[in-house]
Amino acid sequence: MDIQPYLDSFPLPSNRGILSEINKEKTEKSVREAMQNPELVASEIVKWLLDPGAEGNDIQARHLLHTMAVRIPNYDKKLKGDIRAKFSLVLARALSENYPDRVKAFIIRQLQICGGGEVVPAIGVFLNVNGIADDAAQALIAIRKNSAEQFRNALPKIKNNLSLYSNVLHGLAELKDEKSKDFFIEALENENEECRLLGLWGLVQIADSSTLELFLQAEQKEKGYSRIKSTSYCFKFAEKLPKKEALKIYRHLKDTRTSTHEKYILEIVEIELAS
Amino acid sequence: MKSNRRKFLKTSAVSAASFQIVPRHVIGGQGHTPPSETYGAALIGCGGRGPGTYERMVKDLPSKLVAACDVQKSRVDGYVKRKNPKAKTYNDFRKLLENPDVDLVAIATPPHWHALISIAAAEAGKDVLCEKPMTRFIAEGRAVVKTFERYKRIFQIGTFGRFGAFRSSTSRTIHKIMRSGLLNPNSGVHIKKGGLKLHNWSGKPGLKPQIPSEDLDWDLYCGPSPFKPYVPPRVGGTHRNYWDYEGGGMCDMGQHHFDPQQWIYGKDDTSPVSIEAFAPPSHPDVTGMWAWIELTYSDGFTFVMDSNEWGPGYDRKKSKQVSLSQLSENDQEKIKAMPDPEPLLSFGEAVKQRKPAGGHPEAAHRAACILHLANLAIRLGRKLQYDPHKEQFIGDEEANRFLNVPMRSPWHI
Repeated sequence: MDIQPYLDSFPLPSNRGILSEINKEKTEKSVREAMQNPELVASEIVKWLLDPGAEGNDIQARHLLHTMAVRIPNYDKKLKGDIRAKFSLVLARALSENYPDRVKAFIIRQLQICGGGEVVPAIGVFLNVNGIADDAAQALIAIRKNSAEQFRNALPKIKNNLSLYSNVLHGLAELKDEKSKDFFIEALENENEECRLLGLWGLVQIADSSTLELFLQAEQKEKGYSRIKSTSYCFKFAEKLPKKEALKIYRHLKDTRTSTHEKYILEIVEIELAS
Repeated sequence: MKSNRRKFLKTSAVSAASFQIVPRHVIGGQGHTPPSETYGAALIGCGGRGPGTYERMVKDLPSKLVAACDVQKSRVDGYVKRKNPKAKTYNDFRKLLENPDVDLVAIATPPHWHALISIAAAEAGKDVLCEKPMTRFIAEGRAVVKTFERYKRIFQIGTFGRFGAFRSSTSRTIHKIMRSGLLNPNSGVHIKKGGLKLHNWSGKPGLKPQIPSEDLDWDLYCGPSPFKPYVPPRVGGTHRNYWDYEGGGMCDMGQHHFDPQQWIYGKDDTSPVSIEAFAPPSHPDVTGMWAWIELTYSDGFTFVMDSNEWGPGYDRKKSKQVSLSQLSENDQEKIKAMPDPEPLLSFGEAVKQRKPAGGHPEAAHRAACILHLANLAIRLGRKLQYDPHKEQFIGDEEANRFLNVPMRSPWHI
């Protein structure tokens, strides 16, 4: 399929380097025509994508693919078909082909916009890959459906890689994954303070009162900025729990936030305890 | 013995060498006055608008720069050298916020950091003046509002047009009419023509990546936003042209234009319910062209942005001022009998009185929502229906993904 006419309808940078010469009618006519056969068009566009820094330019290809990703959910609703999922699966299949990492990252970002549960396994593979893992994680968090399983499956394989481990913990916490309770508890003992904070935040997110004791024991060990954040997690946890357990958190704060520069915390705690 | 600023000024000449700021939190927070009445102030983000934002924050507050932070070392060093060589310098805002000498924080980073740093500053017990736009996406704004409520800290957005609007008796009358609910349905239309800098703040796609200077912590600069290959325009003012950090001229100028109008038209606690744009397809990375956006509130009142820089002009509705003459005589009397709205407090007044500033978090968030909703109508290419209470699009799951954009680990709201 020749997609060159579609690409040509999208602008190249003007003398100033910006896309000021864009024509709404021409571009939207191309998009409408491309949407008649989105799978085929998608499979062709990905071949035009380039690694940033490579010779040539893919400005028009990125622009067209992104426009289709943004608009296809609306076409899906109008046509009552399944073209969004089919389009997304074509992009997902491209992720297993031999494209540069930054091209795959761009494709994943388009799936973040239009993808559903059907593309989650193809994205999940990249949670183990340095350099794309955070693109994959953010796409999975946006898609949500079936995503937590991908993070859980990835976690045992990447525990020795701090950035990948942090990325996965963060995803599980964002998704409020109750099945990850033990992962969050385990993270409380991590040497890295960011991972410990992600463990604390994960426990707040799932708001399981059975973890409260462990949470309070762990949070009071934090210092400096981590202590500021763990205090905020205490407040958030308290807001999610029944009053009796919330009071336990406020009393804990009253007992532990005793330094002069934590007086503002005590003022809030006193109000909560009195209410 | 209780001191005061006048005594401090008299004695400072002879005791400068031994002067130490007594931080406000030593005495306590709400309602307490430090012995010297001098606030420890800090700036995060020392380039571009930073110094001006700092000066605006400390206007009318006796203060001293005690700390400054920037991901670009030369910038923070240069600023501190000019302003107060004794101030501490930081590369990472988290370390600055640990500093108990800091009471006030001016935030002038690119906007993808505004919400996270505002939230962390409040959690650290600091009051905040934050540059506009308040946020990069809508859920961030709600998180800022909740945090400042929880911690009872002061927040002021870095735009001040609403204070001028308050001084106008015509604006106060419109404000009262709108808040009274007597004009419903409301056929008022406010059109902002031009001034949103499309060409100035449109991005240049397809640039070749470069290696950032050693002076710049590129990873920390990207922070919660996607980690992308470095190209120079992503830093230093032209960050506005990238969706990763801001939202073009719309977000750069929009909060200035619409924050005062939002106050005048009594919309500080709500958002438009219907948003429609006339715009070509948007590029994935960089901001670009659009013609107009129409945003309508539940009572029928409409804001319009007419770019005046690209495409056809807006011609659906004419500008229509809200006025007393649109009400019955009986309702006009009710408006005249209403007391004027409470005066808007400056940041300095709010800090001293421990009351909300004129540009408080909810108002700033709602003003930022106008801009984000407008940009999303441009980017998504479809008419959007929005629930201003749930802060979600209605029946558009994919559009909702743009309201709460996942952040890079470990950042979250």
